[in-house]
Order: sequence, then structure tokens, then C-alpha cells
Amino acid sequence: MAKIAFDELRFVVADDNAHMRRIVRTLLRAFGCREIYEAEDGASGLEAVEAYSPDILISDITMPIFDGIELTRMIRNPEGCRHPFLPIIILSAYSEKKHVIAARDAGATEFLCKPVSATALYRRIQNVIANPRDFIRTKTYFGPDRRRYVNPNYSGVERRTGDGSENVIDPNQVHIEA
Amino acid sequence: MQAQRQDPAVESTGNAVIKPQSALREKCLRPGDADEAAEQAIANAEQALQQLSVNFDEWMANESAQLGEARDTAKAAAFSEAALTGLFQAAHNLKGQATTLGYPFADEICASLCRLIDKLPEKATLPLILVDQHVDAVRALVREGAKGNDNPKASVLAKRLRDVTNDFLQQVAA
Repeated sequence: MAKIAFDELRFVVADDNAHMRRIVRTLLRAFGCREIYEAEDGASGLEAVEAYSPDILISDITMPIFDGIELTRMIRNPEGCRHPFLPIIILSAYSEKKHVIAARDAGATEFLCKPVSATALYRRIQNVIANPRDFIRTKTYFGPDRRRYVNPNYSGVERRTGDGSENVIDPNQVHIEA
Repeated sequence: MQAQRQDPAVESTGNAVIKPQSALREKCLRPGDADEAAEQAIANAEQALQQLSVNFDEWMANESAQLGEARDTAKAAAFSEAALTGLFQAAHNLKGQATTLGYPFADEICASLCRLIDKLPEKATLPLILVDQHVDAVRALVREGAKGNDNPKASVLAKRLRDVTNDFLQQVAA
């Protein structure tokens, strides 16, 4: 695997807690990142995504106006946001399964539980860059493939292949117009 | 600003698998030893966090003061839904950062307080004394500078509050 040129990356960090934003910014700067924009609520997070076109969004869940789950849903709406493929790392003190599932079903790329560590944050960033997952579009979901593993023993209906319901699309042919 | 995706095949048949874009990889992946680069970047970040830590006691004091204010507001409002939400968020904020700021037992106590508020079906039955004990314990840890994982008094306090909270929630659920 190649090394990451962090100085080429642009981040938006959305968290209502100024101390946590400072901690994340400190870690990103130490990784080598130079362009970091901050937002203190979901609405300004969405504005920052539209204004700065970041490469990666790091977002808390609990925030005023709208939370990180809603922010993720808004970004994953190709009709309403110009960056529906944006990698989103949810960074939250919620560690319960229901919150992880809610983030996944909203279209989050990665979930990282607070307390944040340099190692965990680095690995999540590395993963979204080096191992991007397919995006899935259904009537009810748009976002990274929620199946992380292939179960060799799965014997049910395969909904994505074989019956003509699947289309594999080259993202270069998906145009998004402002 | 209105975005529009032109993917008629998807529109006509529903589900689609969209192959990952490679632009981000091309933008920032460079030849080199990934493990060595990661090790260096993580070491740099830990050092930067260490330098930032001169602020952590002040930040903890601010956060624990906010927790105390949220508790006072909740009590004054007779644990109204809005006031309880404020108390929960103050505790949740501290839960998320106390360990990073050097106070892991404050993290545990806030986690217990969050569970107490979140899991109790009837919020009117929230035991005031148990809320006070959690908030006062956090403030005491910060006041006494009870940092790290090896403070025996902080450990006993956090465990006791967690056990009492669990017992209480089990009694309510029974």
C-alpha cells in the first residue's frame, strides 16, 4: 500500500464541541493536513461541504440544528447535494449498536467511537482512501455498500445479481451538475 | 444549488452498484512505505496531542462546570424533557472527551449518567440523589486532578456509581 499525502487532502470537521474540534484538527495537522474547515452544527457542516468540497468529512452525531445522521442523509441525496460520494467518518461518543447501525444506514463510510486516538483516526482515513467500497443505490438507500464481508454460506436470494435488477455503473459516467 | 445525476439505467430498473471512484486515491496516494509513513504520522499526532494537553485541565474544568450547570437547570425545571436533554448532552459531551483529556474515570461516570437518563422509561422517576452523585463525582475528580487509569479512589467511585445505576435500572425494569 502507498503512503498518504495528507497535504493534498481537504477535511471538514463537524462537531458542536470546540475542544473536540481542536483535538481532531491537531491530529489532522500532525498527519500533515493543511486544509481543515470546521463546523459547529449540522447546517454549517452541510454548508462547509458545499462551499469547500472536502475530500473527507469527519462528523459528530449529536449536534444542534440537525445531527450527524441527518447530515449524512442530506449529503447522500444526489438530488440535493453535489458531493454524494463524499467519504464520511462518524466520530461519536455513542458506542451502542443502534447508533452504529443508524449511521451505516444513513450512508456513513466509517464509524469511530470516542475517545479518539491518533491510531484509530489514521486507520479510518487510510481505509476510506485505500479501500473505497462500491456505492449502492436502491429506492431506499444511497451510500457505501453496507455488506463488508461476503458470506460464502449465504443461500438466500441474491438481490443484486442475476435477475436484471442490478446495474453496475462506472462513476465517471455519473454526472453531477451544479 | 441543485444537483442532478444522469444515470437513466438506474432510473429505469432501480438498484445499482456504482464502482468506487479512484480520484481520491490518485490525488493523495504516493509511492512509499505505508507502514513507515503511518507510524511516523501517528507518532507526530501523539506528540502534538501531548503538547496540546497543557490545556486539558482547563477544558475539563469548563466541561464539568457545564455539567453542573445543566444539572442545576434540570433540577430547576423539574427534569423537563428539554432540561433533561441538556443534562444528557452535557454528560455525553464529557463522555466523549474525558478519556482524551486524561480523566478516564470521569468518562465512565458520565457513561453511567447517560445510561441512567437514557434507559429510564419514566423520566419523572429519575432519582435526584443519584444524578447529584454522578455530577458531583465528576466535579470532584476534576477538582482533585484524579487523572489516569490507576487512581484507586476514582476507580471505586466510578464502579460504585455504575453498580448502583445498574441496580436501580434493573429494579425499575422488574
